[in-house]
Amino acid sequence: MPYNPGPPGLGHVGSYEVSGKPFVSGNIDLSSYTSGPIEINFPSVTRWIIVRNRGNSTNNAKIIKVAGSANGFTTGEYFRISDDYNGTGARRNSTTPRMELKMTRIYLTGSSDKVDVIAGLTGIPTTTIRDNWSGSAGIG
Amino acid sequence: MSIYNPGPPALGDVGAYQVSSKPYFKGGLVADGTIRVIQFPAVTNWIHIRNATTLLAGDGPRISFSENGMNTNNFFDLYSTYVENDTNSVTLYFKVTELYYKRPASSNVAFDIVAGLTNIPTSSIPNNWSGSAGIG
Repeated sequence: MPYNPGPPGLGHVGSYEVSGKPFVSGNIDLSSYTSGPIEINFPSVTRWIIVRNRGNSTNNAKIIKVAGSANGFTTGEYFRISDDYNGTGARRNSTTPRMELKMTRIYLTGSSDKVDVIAGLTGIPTTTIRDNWSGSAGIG
Repeated sequence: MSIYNPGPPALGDVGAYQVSSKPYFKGGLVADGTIRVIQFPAVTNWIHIRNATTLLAGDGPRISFSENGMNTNNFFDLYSTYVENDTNSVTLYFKVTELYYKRPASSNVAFDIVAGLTNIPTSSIPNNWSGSAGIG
């Protein structure tokens, strides 16, 4: 019978050392979702994630929030990303760095009409992270 | 029959830093005149601090890795977001268990934290390096 090692596990170092398989979801219009945060599901465990807020406003009114669970928005376990441009020349800090996080989904809320999610994926199945760490400190 | 149990990874376990991290998010923090502390549930792989304030008066917070560090110049200040090339996009690859913060001037500062956690227990770093050169 041939040897079949199965998919890599969550702690498989090599899966994080090779570059990621691309995942891009662009032009997300959060302002059209009025019933709560939206959920971005990744097809496998992420190696890294970048979130960009390309909304424009004079007063940073299109700032967005990012969390690892819907509950995180009510428990303070989230972070914010300013919108991109004030219309007079100055850009804001509207792009996260490459956040090297192993996750299976993220949640977004806010009034921006242009949000991009860019991720590098491992080959590790999403089933290796139960409920995307929900219930952990820092996730909610 | 005894069963081999290697236990949790130690502070120098290379693989614990090579894999991507477990997320830790904390939003809506306010730095005021009191030195406050965030205690991470595990040793960090990296830390990223975001200040979404768009006024220069909102610069900050002031960050150190011990309470004493605030009084011994072992700290640094972040900027608010309304500049083109600010320091907020910096990711600090530090293995720590605590982060101390306060406002750098007279205005309170709102900010958020994103951190990547290892699965190394916090007990691996006694007192979060306090007393070391560069920490205070």
